[in-house]
Amino acid sequence: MNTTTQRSIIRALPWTVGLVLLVGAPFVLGLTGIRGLMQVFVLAVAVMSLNLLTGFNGQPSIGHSAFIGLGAYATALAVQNYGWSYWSALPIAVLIAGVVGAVAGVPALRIRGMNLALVTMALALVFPQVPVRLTEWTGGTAGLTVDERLRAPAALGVADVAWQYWVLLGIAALAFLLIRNVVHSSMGRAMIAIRDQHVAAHTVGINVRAVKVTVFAGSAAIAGVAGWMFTVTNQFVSPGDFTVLVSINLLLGMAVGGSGTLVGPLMGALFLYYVPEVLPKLGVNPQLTPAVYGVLLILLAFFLPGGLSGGLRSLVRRLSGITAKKGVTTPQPTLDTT
Amino acid sequence: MNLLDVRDLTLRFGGVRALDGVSFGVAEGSLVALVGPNGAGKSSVFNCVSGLYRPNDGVVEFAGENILTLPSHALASRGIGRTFQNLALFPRMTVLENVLVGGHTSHRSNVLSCAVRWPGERRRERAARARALDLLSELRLAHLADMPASGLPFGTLKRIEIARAVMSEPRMLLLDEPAAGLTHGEVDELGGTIQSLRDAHGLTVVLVEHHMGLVMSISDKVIVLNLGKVIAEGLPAEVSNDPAVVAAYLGTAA
Repeated sequence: MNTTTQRSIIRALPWTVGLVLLVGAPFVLGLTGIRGLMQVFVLAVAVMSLNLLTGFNGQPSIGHSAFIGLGAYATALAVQNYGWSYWSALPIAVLIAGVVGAVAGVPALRIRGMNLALVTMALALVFPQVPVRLTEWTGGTAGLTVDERLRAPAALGVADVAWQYWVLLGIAALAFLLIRNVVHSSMGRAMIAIRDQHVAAHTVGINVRAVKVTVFAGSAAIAGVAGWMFTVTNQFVSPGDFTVLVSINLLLGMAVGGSGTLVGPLMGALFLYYVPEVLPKLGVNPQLTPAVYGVLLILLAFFLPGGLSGGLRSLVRRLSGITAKKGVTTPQPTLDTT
Repeated sequence: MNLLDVRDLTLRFGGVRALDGVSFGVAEGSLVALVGPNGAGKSSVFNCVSGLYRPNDGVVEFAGENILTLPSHALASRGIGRTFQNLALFPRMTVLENVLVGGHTSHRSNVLSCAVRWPGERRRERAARARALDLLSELRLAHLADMPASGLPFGTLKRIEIARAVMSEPRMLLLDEPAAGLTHGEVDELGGTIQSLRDAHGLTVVLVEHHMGLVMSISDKVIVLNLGKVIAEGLPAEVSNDPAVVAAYLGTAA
């Protein structure tokens, strides 16, 4: 067996084991554990979508709560008010979020950095007002309960919750796979090129505007998928679920996990779900959670600038020594690329 | 037949005339050097030709087409590749990935085919990788293919940038001060590298360069700029004896 196949087996092993464990989880975990993991899947897809735009393409967004909210509300309204099935609501949720994302991506062509962040924040601030305006239709601030749930096919003979869990797991895994493929393709290289060297990206022939708008729309569409997953999980939507704080939490999750990495959003999602769960059990007043986040973020910036995934990677390198080549493990001075 | 024709190029920054009616031609297959003291406008010419600056006046014709109306990203597919004076590599990519980005124009694919990895997309990716690896070995960089670009020596980074530019299969390669920051040995090597790349890939090369030894040894034609104007043009030997050039570099006797 040559070393490349050996290495790819070693690399695939933790993924396979993890996926098998997750698929088997409904047979082992109780309802609370399953519901918790479903929330993690929703968060994972949400952070993945943000990471695609911000981490890989360098376009900051504080507006992702709005895209997720669009997907979630579109699903809830279609299922509850119009009697659609969840599955037929999925493309609608994706389409609506994607189209709004494409429109939001157009001003992003002109503005960058902090200003873009502010424009997207406006989106996040406006979104929760919309359902309130349309109270008769959406239930307003009280929210909208969806009576119907995503049902398991009768032929399978499994509980609906288990089926929902597997559907969400499958979608999250699929989103991960598609994003991985894009990031490792010519499109992904173009995205990173735009993030790191705007001018050089133009000169090598990358249509910077087209790529940016495409990524914005694609990222928003994936956020719409996360919204659909949200409604499947909670069967309830309210304006309070999609405030600007959600966007900020997603950014936090991305930074904690490691922005611009593939594994980062998964770790970020685990962080975002389990840290607020664990803190009260440790005797920390839940109201102090944001403060704990803040302290953790500062510590992380100091000790793990690459986020959890960056830390994990250097740990694996240090422990394995198989893949570690001399010069790769040592911290590299950053290239001056002004 | 000229591949590149620059006519009456004028570029103003506020009240400063960076370029003041610059005209010159570059014959297909030739190696032309653009020289001149600091601030003469050499890089401005490059930035106009590669679409990064919009001149206030004048024409830039490439292969008979006026390229000033084209968006800057369209120039690569027309056959113009360039490197930058201060390097513009992608630090978080590997050396191979940096070069692969250069193949962007010949590797047009949409997001969806990238996301699901159509067989056609895989084939294109494999072909691009093979070509990038060939180029890297041509520039004696193959052993660095999987290294991150950041942290490599300056001279190596410059060669990577050249590889990236050649990866786009340009007809004309613009090199902005390729010898700056290189050691003596590296500069000697660079001259040979540029010439062999030109021959192997059928390139027309225009370079901005301060290193006169390099300019004199490899150029077919030298164009001298001073204060935004062309003050001399000709064979290397002719230009170096031109009184206007001597005056521009050394100043006239007081």
